[in-house]
Amino acid sequence: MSPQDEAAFRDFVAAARPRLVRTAYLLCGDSHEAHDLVQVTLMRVHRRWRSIERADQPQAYARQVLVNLAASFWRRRLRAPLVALTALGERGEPDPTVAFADRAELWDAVMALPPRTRAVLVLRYFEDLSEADTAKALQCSVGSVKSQASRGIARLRSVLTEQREINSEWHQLPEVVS
Amino acid sequence: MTEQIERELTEMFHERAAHLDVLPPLPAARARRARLQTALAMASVVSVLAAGGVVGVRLAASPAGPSAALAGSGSAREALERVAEHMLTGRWHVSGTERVYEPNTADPPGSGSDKPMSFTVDVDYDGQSKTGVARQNGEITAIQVGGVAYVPLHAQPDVLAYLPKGARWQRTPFPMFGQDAAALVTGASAGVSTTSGPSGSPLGPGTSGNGLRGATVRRTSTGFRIDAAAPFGGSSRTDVKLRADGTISSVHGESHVRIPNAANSGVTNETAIMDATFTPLTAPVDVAAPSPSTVVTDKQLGVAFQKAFKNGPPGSRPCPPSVMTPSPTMTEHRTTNGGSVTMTQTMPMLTCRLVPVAPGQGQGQEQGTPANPGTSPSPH
Repeated sequence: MSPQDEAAFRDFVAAARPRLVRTAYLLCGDSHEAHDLVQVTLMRVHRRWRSIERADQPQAYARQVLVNLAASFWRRRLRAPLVALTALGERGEPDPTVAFADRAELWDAVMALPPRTRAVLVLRYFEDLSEADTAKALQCSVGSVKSQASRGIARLRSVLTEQREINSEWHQLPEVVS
Repeated sequence: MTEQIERELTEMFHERAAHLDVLPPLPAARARRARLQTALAMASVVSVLAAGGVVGVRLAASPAGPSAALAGSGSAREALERVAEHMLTGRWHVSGTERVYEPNTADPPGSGSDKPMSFTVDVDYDGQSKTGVARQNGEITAIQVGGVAYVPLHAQPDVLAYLPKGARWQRTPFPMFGQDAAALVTGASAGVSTTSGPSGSPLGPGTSGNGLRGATVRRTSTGFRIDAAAPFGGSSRTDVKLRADGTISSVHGESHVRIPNAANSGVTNETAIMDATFTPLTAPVDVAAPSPSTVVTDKQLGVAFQKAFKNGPPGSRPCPPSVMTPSPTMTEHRTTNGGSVTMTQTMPMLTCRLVPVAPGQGQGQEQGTPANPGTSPSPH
């Protein structure tokens, strides 16, 4: 890679990395995993930098790689479910978002969606991509994007409605004074 | 309703993303190098033992029967116990390779840990005499005689100046072979800490064998499979093939680990594939303890290090904390040729203002000089 290409890639990383990390986080729900996914994404972008830069679409390419990697991440998770040995204790870092419990129900519902559906919602509602661009990033048809988005939104609506009904009933319970 | 949910979804995404702390790709060089120097040669062996050992502890400690983490408990447990017994008391040779991909891209170029790499590891061990030798790419990386282990001494010339002349070995405060796994497998829970092994222990910081917080063992037709979670979120899968007599024939492992950097909370990742073949040893392990005059202890090394750096790196003078000031950020670029990676990072640097110097005391440190060049990253 020429020095000019290296410089251009560095500029790209500096500009695009924060956004990619955030998108990755929304895709996988884990901040550390998000950083890892972006690191691997950038490695792959770097390998093909010249061609994707010529095509003037490094951002789109990186996003596409990231979405695919996130899908692989979920496949890995599903293949090898891990059982935590809580008796041994953990040194893991606390989830930085724990303090921000607002919309926790919606977040949980999004995380419970199938990875593909979640990717559609993240690209449509966070990345603000059009249906066509989302389809391009996910390498699927526009029709598929529409149906995935529709199913995802319907699922979220159902979960939230149910949850809010439960909350409402809970608040209507008479207070018990002991 | 749909519009409201879409709006809420958009807001939630942006809210979550905004609260995410995007870490710069910071180095984990110290932990990584510590691991490379002392631990990697043994990682292929002990990670298997440790993974089995964790389950062993759980089984031993559980009055209600087999752990939920163990599938096919009876046969898997027996297989693990037999393997552990052989590894700890038998005499064996293991030859393995570890190929590291997706390396720690934040390490300085040239440190050796910033590139995809492949290690060939050979370990001979005699469990009866607790004697063993490990070679990495043909070079001895550790020896153990009668349970006392030594690693080659790697110290900078400034530190060596404060050590006995002729020092070539460092005695480790823990055995290299057998100890951790033995403690784990026998279920001697007192003192067993799978989550806080010493840095540089045979299990090593950040390896899949150290600090396992989840392990699932399944019996397979040829042996067993261990799926485990590593500290800080990584995971590993290890397939162990057994011989008819229950001893290990070969091991194939894939691990994806995160390497933390306690200094700045940065985390980098690493993917490694390990293959190892185990064969019985017929002859005793031929290794002798180094001459005492060539050995230094951890304590000696620590004292030498303190003396060497008491006044900062050679050629500098102490910089009082009161004059340390954060400078504007500097941007550094790291290139990893092997992994085809270039990363940038921006970090604040502490600099030392010009220190007023009394006449006759020489010159003060110049403005803009990194306060601690020994630990500051080298711009590339």
